[in-house]
Amino acid sequence: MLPPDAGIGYLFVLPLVVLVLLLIAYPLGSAVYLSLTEKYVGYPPRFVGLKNYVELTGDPVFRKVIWNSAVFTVGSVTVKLMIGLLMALSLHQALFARRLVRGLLLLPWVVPTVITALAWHWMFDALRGFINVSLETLGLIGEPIAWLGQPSTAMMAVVVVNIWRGFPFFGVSLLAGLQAIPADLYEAAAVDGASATQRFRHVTLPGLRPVIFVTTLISTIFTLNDFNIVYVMTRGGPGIATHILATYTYEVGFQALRWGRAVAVSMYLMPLVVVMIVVLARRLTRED
Amino acid sequence: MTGRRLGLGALAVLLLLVAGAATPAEAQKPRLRVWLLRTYVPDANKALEASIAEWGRQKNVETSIEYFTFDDIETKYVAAIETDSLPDVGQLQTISPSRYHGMGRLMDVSDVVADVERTNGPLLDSALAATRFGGRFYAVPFNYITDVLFVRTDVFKKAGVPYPKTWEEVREAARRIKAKGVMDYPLGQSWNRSADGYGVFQALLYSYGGGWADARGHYKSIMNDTWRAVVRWASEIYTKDKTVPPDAMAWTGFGNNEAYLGGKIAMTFNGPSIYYVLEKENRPLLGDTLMLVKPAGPAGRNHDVFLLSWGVFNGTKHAELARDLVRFVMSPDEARKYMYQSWGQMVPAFEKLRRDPYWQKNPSYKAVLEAPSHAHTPGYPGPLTPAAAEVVATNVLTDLCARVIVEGWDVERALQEADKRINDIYATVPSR
Repeated sequence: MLPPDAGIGYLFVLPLVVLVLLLIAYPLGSAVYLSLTEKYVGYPPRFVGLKNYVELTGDPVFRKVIWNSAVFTVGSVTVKLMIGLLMALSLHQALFARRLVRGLLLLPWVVPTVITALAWHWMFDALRGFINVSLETLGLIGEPIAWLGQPSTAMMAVVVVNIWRGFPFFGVSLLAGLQAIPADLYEAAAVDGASATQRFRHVTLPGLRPVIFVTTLISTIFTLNDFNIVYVMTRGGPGIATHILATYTYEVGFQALRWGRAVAVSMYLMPLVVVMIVVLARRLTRED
Repeated sequence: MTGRRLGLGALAVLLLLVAGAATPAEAQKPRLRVWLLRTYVPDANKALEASIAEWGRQKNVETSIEYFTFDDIETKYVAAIETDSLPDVGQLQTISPSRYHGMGRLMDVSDVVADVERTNGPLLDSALAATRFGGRFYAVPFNYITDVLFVRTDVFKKAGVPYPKTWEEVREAARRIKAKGVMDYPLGQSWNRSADGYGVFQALLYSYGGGWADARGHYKSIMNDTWRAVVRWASEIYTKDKTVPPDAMAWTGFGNNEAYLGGKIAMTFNGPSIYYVLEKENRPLLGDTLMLVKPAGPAGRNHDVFLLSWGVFNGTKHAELARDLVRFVMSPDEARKYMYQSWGQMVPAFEKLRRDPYWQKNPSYKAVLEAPSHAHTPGYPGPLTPAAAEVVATNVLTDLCARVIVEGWDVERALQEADKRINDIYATVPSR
């Protein structure tokens, strides 16, 4: 038996339901459907079931793209977390010109990604770039290093740029987390004779765990979907050495004109992302 | 108070009358949406804008111009096709007429081409190949943006090396310049994911007599000695000669321009944009720069092509106006105005315009003019098809080189992968 005011309750929820259906469910449903079709730009879609996914799974180029995406994401997020933690711990201490330093450390996050990527592209240039010229001037290298011209260093370069751009997000989030840890916990630990390392391990880290979890998850999702840095710096090259899911989706969709397959590329890791989002949502709800 | 109300009321009535009088006339004025390529020559862009505006004034048509860049030509059209928001008329790149005609999006403009040929002379073969399908034209050729070989005359002189006329001589020249210690990395050639990569690869391939389609446009295996020789040329300049800057494989479309303008290389294949910068800014390097027609191979001088053309899209409510606009901008006077503002960048496809004395200014301009007469569309020796277009657009050709240069694959394995990709494309691309 519904309570007497249930109707009005549903009425209030209705706009939200409509919005969710229109803005999330419909586009997502369309994308899933498209990924199950042979849809070529300018032609009507033809339902082919899981054919796109099966073909992608057997495609060595796509498998390389998945591997690249994993390296790019895991490499970037791990280092961003570490640098962000260092940034937060430093800023949390009484520091000369703390506000200025905080502002400066946020700069990478504020600068448009395309500008960041172009600037780093120039710095990594083999013949005229800041890095090689500096290393040569210091006598550390005899001939130029092709940072963007070799698979391993090219991947490292795009990861570095992603880290540079993304670590302030971790820093700011973790700083907020640090400030929420009650000071008396540290005082109690100090009274008990805990060293700085022990205080960090048994007070700071447990206090930061929820923030670390949430920021890492959000950053993983964003990094997995990153497009600009790789597109501007290498276009996925040399060859396909830095091709990641976003750039490959673009190539298949807008250059090969195979939209069904392109959507399948972007949907391929959707189950993983959904799991991450569900976990994140649960964690956030629990924190609330 | 009443007087004020009356005053406001009268003002409102007056505004309504003015609006009422103005609206029907404005509504009657047709509006034409035009999409243009923003080339790297602002003077030429402005000349074309002025030409379109002049036509709009003469015909009492409101024209709305939107630009795309080299990088987002396909992206913009693809999005418009899927959302049914194509313009009335727009500029197309080489592979677009074949693709969009296949989708049934382009109107037959054979009558417009016939009119333009009457005043501007016949078309070059490569322009026909890119715009005519089944004997009918689906785009009106506008201009070529040709690829040429840039050479640093001072470097060649210092090394005592003659200018190359064949692909083998290009390689040999680079080796000798390096060996004499004049320049470490004389050859700026990237097999990257841009036209500087897949365009030059086509020129090399076609000049050696290779192709991935037969004369009828059907898939043809690439597992043969011609392809092996071509891939060896493309990869050994990196792996054996080491005459190419070490990070050239990661250059984006502007990488070789920067390297040449920065004095780091002595040779590169590029559109004439480098010369435009040198000439417009009167840089010292201009005197040491020469543009040459791209080299020949065992099968002759057969090159790639970048052709801009005009397409009128099905679905336009103003088909006749769109055709009329194209006729106007292609009329001899307007076409010449544009050409003279192009700094030698925009090469006409029609014979009478090609005979204009403008192109006799110096040997570099002459080379730019000559280049399209050796050009062929993707899929040569067959016709330009959506499948041939996709082979180029998806970087199959340059990925093939990258597999060998960057990932250390042997030529045979790289060719097998490319062959499979090409075969898959031809087997699955839709066509009407």
